[in-house]
Amino acid sequence: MSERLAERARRYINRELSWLEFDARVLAEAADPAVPLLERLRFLAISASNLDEFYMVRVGGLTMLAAEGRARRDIAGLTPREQLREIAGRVREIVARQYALFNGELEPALERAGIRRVPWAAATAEQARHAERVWEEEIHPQLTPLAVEADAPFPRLAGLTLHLALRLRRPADPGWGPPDGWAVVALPRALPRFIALPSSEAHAYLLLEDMAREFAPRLFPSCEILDSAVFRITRNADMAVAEDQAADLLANMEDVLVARRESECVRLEVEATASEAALAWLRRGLGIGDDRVVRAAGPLALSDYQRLADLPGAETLRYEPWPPAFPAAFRRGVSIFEQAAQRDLILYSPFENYEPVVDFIEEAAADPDVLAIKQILYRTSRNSPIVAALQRAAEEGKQVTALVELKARFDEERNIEWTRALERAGVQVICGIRGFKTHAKVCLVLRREAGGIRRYVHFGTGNYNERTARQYCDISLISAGEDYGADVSAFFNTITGVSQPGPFRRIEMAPLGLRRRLLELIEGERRQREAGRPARIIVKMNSLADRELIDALYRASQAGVSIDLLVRGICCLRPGVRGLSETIRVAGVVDRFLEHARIFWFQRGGDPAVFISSADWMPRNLDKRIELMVEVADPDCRQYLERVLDICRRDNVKAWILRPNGAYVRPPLPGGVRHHRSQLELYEAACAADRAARQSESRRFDPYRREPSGGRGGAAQKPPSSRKARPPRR
Amino acid sequence: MTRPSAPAAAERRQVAVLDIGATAIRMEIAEIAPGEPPRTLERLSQPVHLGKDTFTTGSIGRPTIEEAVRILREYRRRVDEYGIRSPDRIRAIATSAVKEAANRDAFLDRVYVATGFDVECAEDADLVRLTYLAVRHLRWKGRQPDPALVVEVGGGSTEVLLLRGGRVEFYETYPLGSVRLRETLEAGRVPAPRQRRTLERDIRRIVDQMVAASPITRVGTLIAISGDVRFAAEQLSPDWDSVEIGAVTPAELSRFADEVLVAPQEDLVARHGLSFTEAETTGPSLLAYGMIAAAFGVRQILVPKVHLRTAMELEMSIRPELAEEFRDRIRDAAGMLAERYHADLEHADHVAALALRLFDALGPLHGLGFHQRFLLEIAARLHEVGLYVSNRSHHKHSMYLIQNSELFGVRQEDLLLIALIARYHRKSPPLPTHPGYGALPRNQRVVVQKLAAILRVADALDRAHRRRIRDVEVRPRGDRLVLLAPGAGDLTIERMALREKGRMFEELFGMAIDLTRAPAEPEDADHV
Repeated sequence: MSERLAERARRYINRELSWLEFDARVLAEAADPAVPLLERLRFLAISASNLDEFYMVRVGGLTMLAAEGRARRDIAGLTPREQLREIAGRVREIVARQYALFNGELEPALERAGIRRVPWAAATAEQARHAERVWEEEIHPQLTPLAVEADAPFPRLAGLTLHLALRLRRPADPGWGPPDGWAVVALPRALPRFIALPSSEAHAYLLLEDMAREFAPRLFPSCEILDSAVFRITRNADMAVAEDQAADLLANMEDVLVARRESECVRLEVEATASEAALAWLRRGLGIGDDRVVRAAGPLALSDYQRLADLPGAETLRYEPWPPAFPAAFRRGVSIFEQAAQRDLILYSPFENYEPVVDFIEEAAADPDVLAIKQILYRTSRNSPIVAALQRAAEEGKQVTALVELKARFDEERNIEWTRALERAGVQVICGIRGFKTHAKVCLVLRREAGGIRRYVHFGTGNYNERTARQYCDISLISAGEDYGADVSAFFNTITGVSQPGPFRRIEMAPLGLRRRLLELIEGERRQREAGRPARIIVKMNSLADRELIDALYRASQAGVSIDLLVRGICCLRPGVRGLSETIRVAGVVDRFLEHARIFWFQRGGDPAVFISSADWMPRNLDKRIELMVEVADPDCRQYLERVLDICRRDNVKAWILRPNGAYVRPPLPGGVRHHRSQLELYEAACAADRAARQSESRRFDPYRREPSGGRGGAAQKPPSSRKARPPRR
Repeated sequence: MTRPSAPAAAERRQVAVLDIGATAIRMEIAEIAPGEPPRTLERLSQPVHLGKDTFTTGSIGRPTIEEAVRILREYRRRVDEYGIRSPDRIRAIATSAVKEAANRDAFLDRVYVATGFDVECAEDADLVRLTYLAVRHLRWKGRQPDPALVVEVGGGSTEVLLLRGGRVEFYETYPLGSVRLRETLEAGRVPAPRQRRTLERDIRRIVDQMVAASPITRVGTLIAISGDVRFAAEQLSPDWDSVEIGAVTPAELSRFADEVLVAPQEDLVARHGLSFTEAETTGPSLLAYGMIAAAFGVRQILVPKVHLRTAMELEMSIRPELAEEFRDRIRDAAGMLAERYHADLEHADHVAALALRLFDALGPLHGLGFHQRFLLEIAARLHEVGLYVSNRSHHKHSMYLIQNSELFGVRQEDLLLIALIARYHRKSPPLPTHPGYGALPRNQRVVVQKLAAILRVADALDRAHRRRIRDVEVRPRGDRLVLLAPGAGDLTIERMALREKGRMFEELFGMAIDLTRAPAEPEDADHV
């Protein structure tokens, strides 16, 4: 038994610990002096907010399992309890690092840059007066102090919200209650955390909790405050969230409900200066053990510092702006339909502008020849222009279907609001597919043209969200290819249940054929290698946690297939282990943009195939979600993706290398070695391509061309309405 | 600079075809243009229990109706998405499970009210015609196999066509169907070990009828059309994806049928992605194919990737030459029928030719179209088959013989018209009290009257059955119809015949008929 466990530990890395390593890599950016100061602060805040979510979802789930007494082991052979223990240890290190960085480097540097946290004691009279006014006008009215009687149940506190615990002494004879006791004041998240103070410096601020502690006596006018402590709890995530994010951990619902009560509070953070008495009182009230307590050596909720990182006017402390290049595959001022009818169009945001994707949908909404639009929406932006376009299209009588995934993390309410608006406009809204979360990103436009009906599709690796498209690295592909059109029609019919799943031509979908296809592709490389031919796999994704696929990669490696895995986040595969994975390299980039595209490349004995996908290689993506993988057949687009992979693979500045022992390292560059920072190179390449395209465009004459026959099926035609060229949006 | 324009762009249309079958409701949306194969845009299929309901209880249950309505509503949305609005671009047919249901009208009404789909029940003639069309459309790599037995085993019925020498030599629809077979087993609570024998017995009974009815009993090639057999071929032939027409041997098919029959249904569903209904019916269907193949000594079974919907699309995009070919098949069938009843074929052909001559020349007068012209032609070819029964009242015998025949590809309502036209080629003109005629709507009655009147004139012109009048020129002259028969000899007999048989024409069209050998007056006297 233990030998088997040892073997599992040798083969795989626990996914929670691997995730924590990702968070540590994010934190490492905060430590990098080459990164601008406010960006470092942002990385610190992101690492903290990542941890919050990790506690809510993953630790929540594991705690429940442990509370149920389950010993189900993970991929690496660990029981829930063992995992919790290891997590607690690693988290302690990460938190210690966070505060060491904050206190030792970032805050002093911020002060030097004129961004100063003002402790109450150091406030000038003017600052104190200002603070008092803010307290009375903005803060105080929103607070609801809560006295906690000794024998009453502990109040239900909001998760991830700052609280102030206060020990009070009441006046000698109040006529009620015991002489002293505890009270809790919640500092709702809607309140400003950083209260700007008048100052000669760039920015001086008072922390909300410092202000609250100072003015707390005004909340309890007749009491004396004996003790106080700022704290924050993290609750086990809501069921709806957990269902998706921790489905692998959840057992049946009844057990869950029991276990849930016990695991309700998964973490208690208190300021390091809190007294033992305060801590004991909190622990007793919340019913949690010492192992779930985190003592913070500085301000709690570092995640809030993202807001400070956005401080207006501090541009020199942030990354220099990289305005997106206009995608070289596209042409300015020409209808997307007209362009797509001629060739497939690809772009990589945010290096290139995402706008053409929005244009595509807006154009579809406005085009009288468009009959129908079908689209999957998931985590779209507030006031999304895409949602607005769909609404307009429906109002103009087009058949619009929107598959809206409401289980997207933490934003149900916002989704419901615009969903209603869509429905009122006449859009057929389908709210998710029972049992599956719809994660595929695809849009289908049916257009009537001289040559018959033509179907235009957009595939993406990221959500239809033009705001996150400025931060997330994602591929978009727009095509009028007949195969894609037929496949996407069939895909929509399958997920909406109007048809039984049919075989697809250029796509694969989870949970149907995607896993099998990936296995075949990996196996195919293994067979090539065994037949003595060169064999190679390059895949880029966010997470690799699926055991079956990992095992297939191991088998391929043992046959000698060269495998490059560009994995940004979780990776349960152990690379470079003798006899297991010697030919596998794992590298992940953490840089200013979030690596998000999934691109899979297989050599196939000299006839390479490249795919883009919405799916990570995780059991939940392959089995519990509706995902798409799209073969990019167009030679230009394929080359484009190969270039992207090439640049990513060369990164030796922002890439982290996973070692066989599970540690990530950024090997120092010996002198004379050329530095490759992939995101910079991708951006520069995009700008250069844009310039080149602009130059040739200005010289280009534009004959109407017929498409070579047999390419896309149907008579190749420029769409009639393309004559009215749209003005460029930019 | 002009752009190259898409060929026949204006004629490209999107159509929707629906097939409401025993086990599934299927729809295809396709783009059709004359001279091009249909381009499928959407292919939808959802399982239903129509067959199960009808073949066990005799009618469609409430939940099944509502399920069908739900599916059809979804389909309607798809149809709307493609902007398909006009009813002539939508064709929905229901097969035996609906047709045989006691509450079929209630079902069809409910569907129409809820979804706007005007579903017609496919007649045997439609299915046979569509089956022929589906096969006719195939592109053969080498020579088309000849003879070939085309078999479509459906949920409730089986169509059989024998193709030989480019003709449809034999065709029939049999009440043999996979759902029907399955339901017999379940209704009879046949225990599992005896199920196979029971199935075989039921199939054998019908296969024996096929063999007995077919003019030949050995056929080398069977062309099998149905989802079940396509499924089997897909499993059996490794190159299925790359070929247009799959091929399996009867032995392979039988072995596969054996496997499927004993496999647990859950297994078929999980392993092959079949629906549960399909999992139940695939076995019986394949068994039937195997037994039909064995009975006819078939050596190869060809499985083309076509189905009813393909044929419906083709029919909507029908090319003129294909339409003419169709009429040829119907002419063949009429000829075979006439032959079976020992009719005077030369006379029949000649009367048909004369009738068409009259019809064409009198277009403005009768205002009838191409379809009616064809009815007239077929009626003329068959008008005397009743003589086989008796000399007396042979026109009445003609009527019921025609009415009770299967004429390849001819729908029941057309068959009735043909029978009536033939009946009225002599004796009493149509009366509202006559069976068949009385029940016709007014416009159809007029069609019968006009065509019968023309047929009578044509028949009178070959009174002697000797084709003495080879051809006529037709000259309407005011209230007279002048028929010129240059080169004909003595026309006394024909004139006498016309006096009797022309009366109906004269009354109907208000024209007297003159039959002459040469023009009675100079052309320039024409004052009309």
